[in-house]
Amino acid sequence: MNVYVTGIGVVSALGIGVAANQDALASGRTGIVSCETRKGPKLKGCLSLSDEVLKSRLGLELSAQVPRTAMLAMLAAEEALGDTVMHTDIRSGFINGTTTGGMDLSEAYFSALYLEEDDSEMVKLLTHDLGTVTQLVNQRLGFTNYVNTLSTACSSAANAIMLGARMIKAGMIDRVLVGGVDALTDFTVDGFGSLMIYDSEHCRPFDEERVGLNLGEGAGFLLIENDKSLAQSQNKVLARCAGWANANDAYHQTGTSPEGNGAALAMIEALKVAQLTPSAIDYLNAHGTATKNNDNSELSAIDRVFEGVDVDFSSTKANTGHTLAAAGGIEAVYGIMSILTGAVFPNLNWKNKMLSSDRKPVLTYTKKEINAVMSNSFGFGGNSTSLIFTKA
Amino acid sequence: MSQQVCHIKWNADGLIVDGQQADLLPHEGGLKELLAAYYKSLGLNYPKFHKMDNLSKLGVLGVAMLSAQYDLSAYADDAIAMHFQNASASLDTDWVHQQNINEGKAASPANFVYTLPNIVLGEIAIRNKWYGENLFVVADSFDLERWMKTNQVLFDQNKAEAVLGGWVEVLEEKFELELYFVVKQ
Repeated sequence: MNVYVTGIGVVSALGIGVAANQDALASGRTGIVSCETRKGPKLKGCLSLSDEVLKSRLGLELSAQVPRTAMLAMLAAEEALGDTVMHTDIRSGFINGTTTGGMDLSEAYFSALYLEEDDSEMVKLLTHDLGTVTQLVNQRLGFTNYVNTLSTACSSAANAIMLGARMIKAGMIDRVLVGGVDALTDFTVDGFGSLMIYDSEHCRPFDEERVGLNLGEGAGFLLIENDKSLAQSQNKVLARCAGWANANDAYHQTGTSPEGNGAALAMIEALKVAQLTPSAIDYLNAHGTATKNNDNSELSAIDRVFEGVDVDFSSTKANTGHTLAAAGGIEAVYGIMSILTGAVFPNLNWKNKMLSSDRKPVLTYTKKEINAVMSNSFGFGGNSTSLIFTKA
Repeated sequence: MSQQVCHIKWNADGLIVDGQQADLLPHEGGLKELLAAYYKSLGLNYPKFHKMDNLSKLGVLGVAMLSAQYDLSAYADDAIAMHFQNASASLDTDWVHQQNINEGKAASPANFVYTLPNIVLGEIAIRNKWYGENLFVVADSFDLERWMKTNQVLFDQNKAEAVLGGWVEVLEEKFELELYFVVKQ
Protein backbone atom coordinates (compact mmCIF):
# COMPACT_ATOMS: atom_id res chain seq x y z
CA MET A 1 0.00 0.00 0.00
CA ASN A 2 1.53 3.35 -1.06
CA VAL A 3 1.64 6.21 1.42
CA TYR A 4 1.51 9.51 -0.47
CA VAL A 5 2.43 12.88 1.00
CA THR A 6 0.00 15.35 -0.54
CA GLY A 7 0.25 18.36 1.72
CA ILE A 8 2.90 20.05 3.87
CA GLY A 9 2.62 22.88 6.36
CA VAL A 10 5.18 24.48 8.64
CA VAL A 11 5.62 27.24 11.20
CA SER A 12 8.96 28.00 12.84
CA ALA A 13 11.15 30.87 13.94
CA LEU A 14 11.86 31.24 10.21
CA GLY A 15 8.27 32.24 9.57
CA ILE A 16 4.81 30.95 8.76
CA GLY A 17 4.46 28.68 5.76
CA VAL A 18 6.58 26.55 3.44
CA ALA A 19 7.64 29.50 1.25
CA ALA A 20 8.98 31.60 4.14
CA ASN A 21 10.87 28.61 5.56
CA GLN A 22 12.28 27.68 2.12
CA ASP A 23 13.60 31.23 1.57
CA ALA A 24 15.24 31.34 4.99
CA LEU A 25 16.85 27.88 4.67
CA ALA A 26 18.12 28.63 1.15
CA SER A 27 19.66 31.91 2.25
CA GLY A 28 21.14 30.46 5.44
CA ARG A 29 19.11 32.70 7.75
CA THR A 30 18.55 31.89 11.42
CA GLY A 31 15.39 32.61 13.39
CA ILE A 32 17.19 32.32 16.72
CA VAL A 33 17.22 35.66 18.52
CA SER A 34 17.94 37.02 21.98
CA CYS A 35 14.77 37.08 24.12
CA GLU A 36 14.29 38.68 27.53
CA THR A 37 13.37 36.27 30.34
CA ARG A 38 13.03 36.60 34.12
CA LYS A 39 16.53 35.16 34.34
CA GLY A 40 18.18 37.41 31.74
CA PRO A 41 18.48 37.16 27.97
CA LYS A 42 18.26 33.75 26.27
CA LEU A 43 18.71 32.80 22.63
CA LYS A 44 15.52 31.21 21.36
CA GLY A 45 14.01 30.27 18.03
CA CYS A 46 10.87 32.32 18.53
CA LEU A 47 8.23 33.10 15.91
CA SER A 48 8.18 36.91 16.12
CA LEU A 49 4.38 37.23 16.30
CA SER A 50 2.49 37.71 19.56
CA ASP A 51 -0.45 35.53 20.62
CA GLU A 52 -2.75 38.47 19.79
CA VAL A 53 -1.44 38.72 16.24
CA LEU A 54 -1.76 34.94 15.78
CA LYS A 55 -5.36 35.08 17.06
CA SER A 56 -6.33 37.77 14.60
CA ARG A 57 -4.59 35.90 11.78
CA LEU A 58 -6.60 32.78 12.67
CA GLY A 59 -9.85 34.70 13.10
CA LEU A 60 -10.08 33.80 16.79
CA GLU A 61 -11.67 36.05 19.40
CA LEU A 62 -8.99 37.92 21.36
CA SER A 63 -10.62 36.71 24.59
CA ALA A 64 -10.65 33.05 23.49
CA GLN A 65 -8.52 30.75 25.64
CA VAL A 66 -6.30 29.12 23.02
CA PRO A 67 -2.73 28.14 23.92
CA ARG A 68 0.04 29.36 21.60
CA THR A 69 0.84 25.70 20.96
CA ALA A 70 -2.62 25.17 19.46
CA MET A 71 -2.32 28.29 17.29
CA LEU A 72 1.06 27.27 15.85
CA ALA A 73 -0.45 23.86 15.08
CA MET A 74 -3.56 25.39 13.46
CA LEU A 75 -1.42 27.45 11.07
CA ALA A 76 0.74 24.50 9.96
CA ALA A 77 -2.12 21.99 9.90
CA GLU A 78 -4.32 24.23 7.76
CA GLU A 79 -1.47 24.82 5.30
CA ALA A 80 -0.89 21.06 5.00
CA LEU A 81 -4.59 20.32 4.58
CA GLY A 82 -4.99 22.99 1.89
CA ASP A 83 -8.28 22.71 0.00
CA THR A 84 -8.77 19.04 0.91
CA VAL A 85 -12.36 18.48 2.03
CA MET A 86 -13.67 15.71 4.26
CA HIS A 87 -15.66 12.99 2.55
CA THR A 88 -17.85 10.40 4.24
CA ASP A 89 -16.35 7.51 2.23
CA ILE A 90 -12.81 8.43 3.26
CA ARG A 91 -11.72 7.34 6.75
CA SER A 92 -9.64 10.25 7.96
CA GLY A 93 -7.63 11.05 11.07
CA PHE A 94 -5.38 13.47 12.90
CA ILE A 95 -2.31 12.46 14.93
CA ASN A 96 -0.53 15.23 16.82
CA GLY A 97 2.81 14.97 18.62
CA THR A 98 3.38 17.45 21.44
CA THR A 99 5.14 17.72 24.79
CA THR A 100 4.32 21.23 26.02
CA GLY A 101 0.57 21.15 25.33
CA GLY A 102 -1.11 24.23 26.75
CA MET A 103 1.70 24.83 29.23
CA ASP A 104 2.32 28.34 27.90
CA LEU A 105 -1.01 29.44 29.40
CA SER A 106 -0.49 27.40 32.59
CA GLU A 107 2.74 29.33 33.11
CA ALA A 108 0.92 32.62 32.63
CA TYR A 109 -1.41 31.55 35.47
CA PHE A 110 1.46 30.45 37.72
CA SER A 111 3.36 33.63 37.02
CA ALA A 112 0.36 35.77 38.00
CA LEU A 113 -0.17 33.60 41.07
CA TYR A 114 3.38 33.71 42.39
CA LEU A 115 4.57 37.13 41.28
CA GLU A 116 1.36 39.12 41.72
CA GLU A 117 -0.61 36.86 44.08
CA ASP A 118 -3.41 36.90 41.50
CA ASP A 119 -5.26 33.58 41.45
CA SER A 120 -8.12 34.77 39.24
CA GLU A 121 -6.83 33.05 36.10
CA MET A 122 -7.01 29.45 37.28
CA VAL A 123 -9.25 28.70 34.31
CA LYS A 124 -6.07 28.85 32.20
CA LEU A 125 -5.20 25.38 33.52
CA LEU A 126 -8.15 23.91 31.63
CA THR A 127 -6.17 23.87 28.38
CA HIS A 128 -3.03 22.44 30.00
CA ASP A 129 -3.10 18.85 28.82
CA LEU A 130 -1.74 17.66 25.50
CA GLY A 131 -4.99 16.18 24.23
CA THR A 132 -6.83 19.49 24.71
CA VAL A 133 -4.46 21.15 22.24
CA THR A 134 -5.16 18.40 19.69
CA GLN A 135 -8.91 18.83 20.23
CA LEU A 136 -8.76 22.62 19.84
CA VAL A 137 -6.94 22.22 16.52
CA ASN A 138 -9.31 19.50 15.39
CA GLN A 139 -12.35 21.68 16.12
CA ARG A 140 -11.26 23.65 13.05
CA LEU A 141 -10.28 20.63 10.95
CA GLY A 142 -13.13 18.22 11.69
CA PHE A 143 -11.43 14.83 11.58
CA THR A 144 -13.75 12.19 13.00
CA ASN A 145 -12.53 8.63 12.44
CA TYR A 146 -9.31 8.71 14.44
CA VAL A 147 -7.79 11.45 16.61
CA ASN A 148 -4.76 10.79 18.81
CA THR A 149 -2.02 12.65 20.67
CA LEU A 150 1.48 11.23 20.99
CA SER A 151 4.16 12.35 23.41
CA THR A 152 7.58 10.76 23.15
CA ALA A 153 9.69 13.85 23.83
CA CYS A 154 11.71 15.06 20.84
CA SER A 155 10.63 12.23 18.54
CA SER A 156 6.88 12.91 19.08
CA ALA A 157 6.05 14.33 15.63
CA ALA A 158 8.22 11.74 13.86
CA ASN A 159 6.36 8.99 15.71
CA ALA A 160 3.01 10.58 14.80
CA ILE A 161 4.08 10.43 11.13
CA MET A 162 5.20 6.83 11.56
CA LEU A 163 1.92 5.81 13.23
CA GLY A 164 -0.12 7.46 10.47
CA ALA A 165 1.92 5.79 7.74
CA ARG A 166 1.60 2.40 9.43
CA MET A 167 -2.17 2.83 9.81
CA ILE A 168 -2.47 3.57 6.08
CA LYS A 169 -0.26 0.60 5.23
CA ALA A 170 -2.37 -1.64 7.48
CA GLY A 171 -5.55 -0.46 5.73
CA MET A 172 -6.95 1.07 8.92
CA ILE A 173 -7.33 4.58 7.54
CA ASP A 174 -7.32 6.35 4.16
CA ARG A 175 -6.12 9.85 4.96
CA VAL A 176 -4.36 11.25 8.01
CA LEU A 177 -2.84 14.55 9.04
CA VAL A 178 0.36 13.83 10.99
CA GLY A 179 3.06 15.87 12.67
CA GLY A 180 3.59 17.86 15.81
CA VAL A 181 3.87 21.13 17.66
CA ASP A 182 5.51 22.75 20.67
CA ALA A 183 5.61 26.34 21.90
CA LEU A 184 8.42 27.81 23.96
CA THR A 185 7.91 27.60 27.74
CA ASP A 186 10.00 28.35 30.83
CA PHE A 187 9.46 24.70 31.83
CA THR A 188 11.57 23.47 28.90
CA VAL A 189 14.03 26.39 28.62
CA ASP A 190 14.89 26.23 32.34
CA GLY A 191 14.89 22.42 32.21
CA PHE A 192 17.44 22.20 29.41
CA GLY A 193 19.36 24.99 31.14
CA SER A 194 19.51 22.85 34.29
CA LEU A 195 21.03 20.00 32.26
CA MET A 196 23.83 22.44 31.30
CA ILE A 197 23.19 21.87 27.61
CA TYR A 198 21.70 25.27 26.66
CA ASP A 199 24.17 27.29 24.61
CA SER A 200 24.33 30.98 25.60
CA GLU A 201 25.50 31.62 22.04
CA HIS A 202 24.12 30.39 18.71
CA CYS A 203 24.19 26.58 18.66
CA ARG A 204 26.76 24.83 16.45
CA PRO A 205 25.55 21.41 15.29
CA PHE A 206 28.29 18.87 14.48
CA ASP A 207 31.08 21.32 15.40
CA GLU A 208 33.79 19.97 17.70
CA GLU A 209 33.46 23.11 19.87
CA ARG A 210 29.67 22.86 20.28
CA VAL A 211 28.38 23.18 23.84
CA GLY A 212 24.61 22.82 23.57
CA LEU A 213 21.30 23.68 21.97
CA ASN A 214 18.96 26.65 21.67
CA LEU A 215 15.29 25.84 21.99
CA GLY A 216 12.74 26.92 19.41
CA GLU A 217 9.03 26.72 18.72
CA GLY A 218 6.90 25.72 15.79
CA ALA A 219 4.79 23.09 14.10
CA GLY A 220 5.11 20.82 11.10
CA PHE A 221 2.37 18.66 9.55
CA LEU A 222 2.03 16.34 6.55
CA LEU A 223 -1.17 15.19 4.89
CA ILE A 224 -0.69 11.55 3.92
CA GLU A 225 -3.14 9.51 1.83
CA ASN A 226 -3.66 6.12 0.22
CA ASP A 227 -4.78 5.52 -3.39
CA LYS A 228 -8.47 5.58 -2.53
CA SER A 229 -8.20 8.89 -0.71
CA LEU A 230 -6.07 10.35 -3.49
CA ALA A 231 -8.69 9.46 -6.11
CA GLN A 232 -11.26 11.43 -4.09
CA SER A 233 -9.10 14.42 -3.12
CA GLN A 234 -7.35 14.78 -6.49
CA ASN A 235 -4.42 16.20 -4.51
CA LYS A 236 -1.03 16.44 -6.16
CA VAL A 237 1.47 13.88 -4.84
CA LEU A 238 4.48 15.72 -3.39
CA ALA A 239 6.45 12.69 -2.17
CA ARG A 240 6.03 9.22 -0.76
CA CYS A 241 6.48 8.25 2.85
CA ALA A 242 8.63 5.19 2.16
CA GLY A 243 10.37 4.14 5.37
CA TRP A 244 10.03 4.47 9.14
CA ALA A 245 11.34 2.88 12.30
CA ASN A 246 11.52 3.48 16.02
CA ALA A 247 14.03 1.89 18.39
CA ASN A 248 14.93 2.18 22.07
CA ASP A 249 18.49 3.16 22.88
CA ALA A 250 18.10 1.92 26.52
CA TYR A 251 21.17 3.80 27.70
CA HIS A 252 20.33 6.94 29.69
CA GLN A 253 17.19 8.93 30.61
CA THR A 254 18.17 12.05 28.68
CA GLY A 255 21.31 11.09 26.77
CA THR A 256 22.06 8.67 23.99
CA SER A 257 24.70 5.93 23.93
CA PRO A 258 28.14 6.97 22.63
CA GLU A 259 27.83 4.40 19.84
CA GLY A 260 24.34 5.62 18.90
CA ASN A 261 22.83 2.15 19.09
CA GLY A 262 19.20 3.28 19.07
CA ALA A 263 19.86 5.77 16.26
CA ALA A 264 21.65 3.13 14.15
CA LEU A 265 18.88 0.58 14.71
CA ALA A 266 16.24 3.12 13.66
CA MET A 267 18.11 4.16 10.50
CA ILE A 268 18.86 0.55 9.45
CA GLU A 269 15.27 -0.55 10.01
CA ALA A 270 13.84 2.49 8.15
CA LEU A 271 16.07 1.66 5.16
CA LYS A 272 14.77 -1.92 5.28
CA VAL A 273 11.13 -0.76 5.32
CA ALA A 274 11.87 1.56 2.36
CA GLN A 275 13.84 -1.21 0.62
CA LEU A 276 16.70 1.21 0.01
CA THR A 277 20.46 0.97 0.49
CA PRO A 278 22.31 3.72 2.39
CA SER A 279 23.80 5.01 -0.89
CA ALA A 280 20.26 5.78 -2.13
CA ILE A 281 19.83 8.51 0.50
CA ASP A 282 20.57 11.86 -1.19
CA TYR A 283 20.10 14.02 1.89
CA LEU A 284 19.98 13.23 5.59
CA ASN A 285 18.35 15.88 7.81
CA ALA A 286 20.00 14.92 11.08
CA HIS A 287 18.59 15.39 14.57
CA GLY A 288 21.81 17.41 15.22
CA THR A 289 20.76 19.29 18.37
CA ALA A 290 24.32 20.61 18.91
CA THR A 291 24.64 19.00 22.33
CA LYS A 292 27.95 17.20 22.91
CA ASN A 293 26.11 13.97 23.50
CA ASN A 294 23.60 13.90 20.63
CA ASP A 295 25.90 14.90 17.80
CA ASN A 296 28.63 12.55 18.94
CA SER A 297 26.25 9.63 19.23
CA GLU A 298 24.35 10.42 16.02
CA LEU A 299 27.52 10.81 13.95
CA SER A 300 28.84 7.47 15.29
CA ALA A 301 25.57 5.89 14.18
CA ILE A 302 25.78 7.60 10.76
CA ASP A 303 29.37 6.33 10.39
CA ARG A 304 28.15 2.80 11.03
CA VAL A 305 24.99 2.86 8.90
CA PHE A 306 26.57 4.82 6.02
CA GLU A 307 29.94 3.06 6.08
CA GLY A 308 31.77 3.87 2.83
CA VAL A 309 29.00 6.25 1.72
CA ASP A 310 29.62 10.01 1.72
CA VAL A 311 26.07 11.01 2.53
CA ASP A 312 25.11 14.73 2.40
CA PHE A 313 23.83 15.61 5.86
CA SER A 314 23.02 18.73 7.87
CA SER A 315 21.11 19.87 10.90
CA THR A 316 18.64 22.74 10.56
CA LYS A 317 18.51 23.26 14.35
CA ALA A 318 20.79 26.31 14.01
CA ASN A 319 18.05 27.91 11.87
CA THR A 320 15.00 27.00 13.93
CA GLY A 321 16.29 26.06 17.36
CA HIS A 322 15.35 22.66 18.75
CA THR A 323 11.57 22.65 18.54
CA LEU A 324 11.27 19.46 20.69
CA ALA A 325 8.07 17.55 19.81
CA ALA A 326 7.65 19.59 16.61
CA ALA A 327 11.17 18.89 15.30
CA GLY A 328 10.28 15.64 13.53
CA GLY A 329 7.34 17.33 11.78
CA ILE A 330 9.17 20.51 10.79
CA GLU A 331 12.15 18.53 9.54
CA ALA A 332 9.96 16.04 7.63
CA VAL A 333 8.53 19.10 5.83
CA TYR A 334 12.09 20.33 5.19
CA GLY A 335 13.00 16.89 3.80
CA ILE A 336 10.08 17.03 1.38
CA MET A 337 11.01 20.60 0.43
CA SER A 338 14.49 19.24 -0.32
CA ILE A 339 12.96 16.68 -2.72
CA LEU A 340 10.64 19.26 -4.33
CA THR A 341 13.27 21.95 -4.86
CA GLY A 342 16.22 19.64 -5.52
CA ALA A 343 18.41 21.14 -2.83
CA VAL A 344 20.34 20.35 0.33
CA PHE A 345 20.05 22.84 3.19
CA PRO A 346 23.23 24.15 4.84
CA ASN A 347 24.31 23.48 8.43
CA LEU A 348 24.95 26.94 9.99
CA ASN A 349 27.69 27.96 12.44
CA TRP A 350 30.02 25.07 11.61
CA LYS A 351 33.77 25.67 11.84
CA ASN A 352 35.59 22.70 13.37
CA LYS A 353 35.37 19.10 12.26
CA MET A 354 34.49 16.65 15.04
CA LEU A 355 37.45 14.53 16.12
CA SER A 356 35.41 11.34 16.37
CA SER A 357 34.54 11.16 12.66
CA ASP A 358 35.84 12.18 9.23
CA ARG A 359 32.46 13.51 8.19
CA LYS A 360 31.45 17.15 7.96
CA PRO A 361 27.98 18.52 7.29
CA VAL A 362 26.89 20.32 4.10
CA LEU A 363 27.76 24.00 4.60
CA THR A 364 26.25 25.71 1.58
CA TYR A 365 22.86 25.60 -0.09
CA THR A 366 23.50 23.00 -2.78
CA LYS A 367 21.23 22.20 -5.71
CA LYS A 368 21.15 18.57 -6.83
CA GLU A 369 18.61 15.91 -7.74
CA ILE A 370 17.06 14.48 -4.58
CA ASN A 371 15.26 11.15 -4.85
CA ALA A 372 15.32 10.06 -1.22
CA VAL A 373 15.75 11.85 2.11
CA MET A 374 16.13 10.53 5.64
CA SER A 375 15.02 12.50 8.70
CA ASN A 376 16.16 11.60 12.22
CA SER A 377 14.52 12.48 15.54
CA PHE A 378 15.72 11.24 18.92
CA GLY A 379 13.98 11.81 22.23
CA PHE A 380 14.51 11.49 25.97
CA GLY A 381 13.93 7.98 27.21
CA GLY A 382 16.09 6.63 24.35
CA ASN A 383 13.24 7.00 21.85
CA SER A 384 14.89 7.02 18.41
CA THR A 385 13.00 7.44 15.12
CA SER A 386 14.09 7.60 11.52
CA LEU A 387 11.83 8.43 8.54
CA ILE A 388 12.47 8.16 4.79
CA PHE A 389 10.67 10.12 2.06
CA THR A 390 11.11 9.50 -1.65
CA LYS A 391 10.29 11.38 -4.83
CA ALA A 392 6.70 11.03 -6.04
CA MET B 1 -3.42 -16.20 22.59
CA SER B 2 -1.44 -15.35 25.68
CA GLN B 3 -1.07 -16.49 29.24
CA GLN B 4 -0.69 -14.39 32.36
CA VAL B 5 2.18 -15.83 34.38
CA CYS B 6 2.77 -13.27 37.08
CA HIS B 7 0.80 -10.54 38.80
CA ILE B 8 1.87 -8.00 41.39
CA LYS B 9 -0.48 -5.54 43.07
CA TRP B 10 1.08 -2.95 45.32
CA ASN B 11 -0.51 0.04 47.01
CA ALA B 12 -0.95 1.61 50.44
CA ASP B 13 -3.01 -1.42 51.58
CA GLY B 14 -0.20 -3.89 51.02
CA LEU B 15 1.64 -5.98 48.50
CA ILE B 16 0.23 -9.01 46.70
CA VAL B 17 2.60 -11.11 44.63
CA ASP B 18 0.88 -13.92 42.75
CA GLY B 19 -1.91 -14.04 45.31
CA GLN B 20 0.42 -13.96 48.32
CA GLN B 21 -0.54 -10.99 50.44
CA ALA B 22 1.98 -9.22 52.64
CA ASP B 23 1.95 -6.10 54.79
CA LEU B 24 4.05 -3.18 53.63
CA LEU B 25 7.59 -3.12 54.96
CA PRO B 26 8.02 -0.98 58.06
CA HIS B 27 9.44 2.44 57.23
CA GLU B 28 9.68 5.90 58.71
CA GLY B 29 8.30 8.70 56.61
CA GLY B 30 6.44 8.63 53.34
CA LEU B 31 6.52 6.98 49.94
CA LYS B 32 10.20 7.78 49.29
CA GLU B 33 11.20 5.95 52.47
CA LEU B 34 8.87 3.05 51.71
CA LEU B 35 10.46 2.58 48.29
CA ALA B 36 13.93 2.78 49.88
CA ALA B 37 12.92 0.03 52.32
CA TYR B 38 11.96 -2.25 49.42
CA TYR B 39 15.18 -1.39 47.56
CA LYS B 40 17.08 -2.57 50.63
CA SER B 41 15.02 -5.68 51.24
CA LEU B 42 15.33 -6.76 47.60
CA GLY B 43 19.11 -6.43 47.90
CA LEU B 44 19.36 -4.36 44.73
CA ASN B 45 22.81 -3.04 44.08
CA TYR B 46 21.90 -0.24 41.68
CA PRO B 47 22.99 3.20 42.92
CA LYS B 48 21.18 4.95 40.03
CA PHE B 49 17.96 3.99 41.85
CA HIS B 50 18.48 6.73 44.42
CA LYS B 51 18.44 9.46 41.74
CA MET B 52 15.08 8.38 40.32
CA ASP B 53 11.71 9.97 40.97
CA ASN B 54 9.09 7.91 42.82
CA LEU B 55 7.33 6.85 39.61
CA SER B 56 10.51 5.34 38.16
CA LYS B 57 11.42 3.77 41.50
CA LEU B 58 8.03 2.11 41.75
CA GLY B 59 8.35 0.67 38.23
CA VAL B 60 11.92 -0.51 38.69
CA LEU B 61 11.14 -2.16 42.05
CA GLY B 62 8.04 -3.85 40.63
CA VAL B 63 10.06 -5.36 37.78
CA ALA B 64 12.76 -6.47 40.24
CA MET B 65 10.09 -8.24 42.35
CA LEU B 66 8.66 -9.84 39.26
CA SER B 67 12.01 -11.08 38.01
CA ALA B 68 12.63 -12.63 41.44
CA GLN B 69 9.40 -14.61 40.89
CA TYR B 70 9.82 -15.46 37.26
CA ASP B 71 13.03 -15.88 35.27
CA LEU B 72 13.18 -13.17 32.59
CA SER B 73 16.81 -13.81 31.62
CA ALA B 74 15.93 -16.46 29.05
CA TYR B 75 14.37 -13.84 26.78
CA ALA B 76 16.33 -12.13 24.01
CA ASP B 77 17.02 -8.44 24.67
CA ASP B 78 14.21 -7.31 22.37
CA ALA B 79 11.66 -10.04 23.13
CA ILE B 80 9.95 -8.39 26.10
CA ALA B 81 7.72 -5.44 25.27
CA MET B 82 6.82 -2.91 27.95
CA HIS B 83 3.32 -1.48 28.04
CA PHE B 84 2.44 0.71 30.99
CA GLN B 85 -0.40 3.06 31.75
CA ASN B 86 -1.31 5.62 34.38
CA ALA B 87 -3.60 8.56 35.02
CA SER B 88 -1.24 11.28 36.24
CA ALA B 89 1.59 10.92 33.70
CA SER B 90 4.67 12.53 35.32
CA LEU B 91 2.65 15.21 37.15
CA ASP B 92 4.24 14.26 40.49
CA THR B 93 7.63 15.50 39.23
CA ASP B 94 6.32 18.13 36.77
CA TRP B 95 4.88 19.92 39.78
CA VAL B 96 8.23 20.06 41.60
CA HIS B 97 10.02 21.37 38.49
CA GLN B 98 7.30 23.96 37.77
CA GLN B 99 7.34 25.09 41.38
CA ASN B 100 11.09 25.83 41.18
CA ILE B 101 10.41 28.00 38.13
CA ASN B 102 7.39 29.69 39.76
CA GLU B 103 9.45 30.64 42.79
CA GLY B 104 12.33 31.89 40.64
CA LYS B 105 14.67 29.16 41.89
CA ALA B 106 17.17 27.35 39.68
CA ALA B 107 15.57 24.38 37.96
CA SER B 108 17.11 21.05 38.93
CA PRO B 109 18.26 18.50 36.34
CA ALA B 110 17.40 15.78 38.86
CA ASN B 111 13.74 16.76 38.49
CA PHE B 112 13.66 17.82 34.85
CA VAL B 113 14.78 14.46 33.46
CA TYR B 114 11.74 12.84 35.08
CA THR B 115 9.15 15.26 33.65
CA LEU B 116 8.06 12.69 31.05
CA PRO B 117 6.09 9.57 32.06
CA ASN B 118 7.93 7.32 29.60
CA ILE B 119 11.16 7.81 31.56
CA VAL B 120 10.03 4.98 33.85
CA LEU B 121 10.15 2.72 30.77
CA GLY B 122 13.61 4.09 29.98
CA GLU B 123 14.82 3.33 33.51
CA ILE B 124 13.52 -0.24 33.37
CA ALA B 125 15.01 -0.72 29.88
CA ILE B 126 18.39 0.66 30.99
CA ARG B 127 18.55 -1.54 34.08
CA ASN B 128 17.57 -4.71 32.22
CA LYS B 129 19.25 -3.89 28.88
CA TRP B 130 15.99 -4.36 27.02
CA TYR B 131 15.60 -2.97 23.51
CA GLY B 132 12.07 -4.15 22.70
CA GLU B 133 8.82 -2.33 22.00
CA ASN B 134 7.65 0.12 24.61
CA LEU B 135 4.48 2.08 25.04
CA PHE B 136 3.17 4.37 27.77
CA VAL B 137 -0.51 5.32 27.66
CA VAL B 138 -2.20 7.97 29.78
CA ALA B 139 -5.74 6.84 30.69
CA ASP B 140 -8.36 7.65 33.33
CA SER B 141 -8.22 4.19 34.85
CA PHE B 142 -6.78 0.76 34.20
CA ASP B 143 -8.78 -1.46 31.92
CA LEU B 144 -7.13 -4.89 31.88
CA GLU B 145 -9.13 -6.12 28.90
CA ARG B 146 -8.13 -3.13 26.79
CA TRP B 147 -4.54 -3.41 27.93
CA MET B 148 -4.53 -7.06 26.83
CA LYS B 149 -6.01 -6.15 23.43
CA THR B 150 -3.02 -3.93 22.67
CA ASN B 151 -0.67 -6.70 23.83
CA GLN B 152 -2.39 -9.10 21.46
CA VAL B 153 -1.49 -6.77 18.57
CA LEU B 154 2.17 -6.96 19.61
CA PHE B 155 1.95 -10.76 19.71
CA ASP B 156 0.08 -11.05 16.40
CA GLN B 157 2.68 -8.93 14.63
CA ASN B 158 5.57 -10.88 16.16
CA LYS B 159 6.79 -7.73 17.87
CA ALA B 160 7.19 -9.42 21.25
CA GLU B 161 7.22 -12.82 22.94
CA ALA B 162 6.07 -11.39 26.25
CA VAL B 163 4.61 -8.16 27.57
CA LEU B 164 5.48 -6.67 30.92
CA GLY B 165 3.48 -3.79 32.28
CA GLY B 166 0.14 -2.61 33.57
CA TRP B 167 -0.60 0.35 35.78
CA VAL B 168 2.07 2.48 37.46
CA GLU B 169 0.68 5.54 39.19
CA VAL B 170 2.25 8.00 41.61
CA LEU B 171 0.90 11.36 42.75
CA GLU B 172 2.45 12.78 45.89
CA GLU B 173 1.97 10.09 48.57
CA LYS B 174 -0.59 8.08 46.61
CA PHE B 175 0.77 5.17 44.62
CA GLU B 176 -0.52 2.11 42.86
CA LEU B 177 1.30 -0.55 40.93
CA GLU B 178 -0.47 -3.31 39.08
CA LEU B 179 2.12 -5.29 37.21
CA TYR B 180 1.53 -8.20 34.86
CA PHE B 181 3.78 -10.47 32.87
CA VAL B 182 2.01 -12.15 29.97
CA VAL B 183 3.61 -14.53 27.52
CA LYS B 184 2.63 -15.40 23.99
CA GLN B 185 1.22 -18.90 23.59
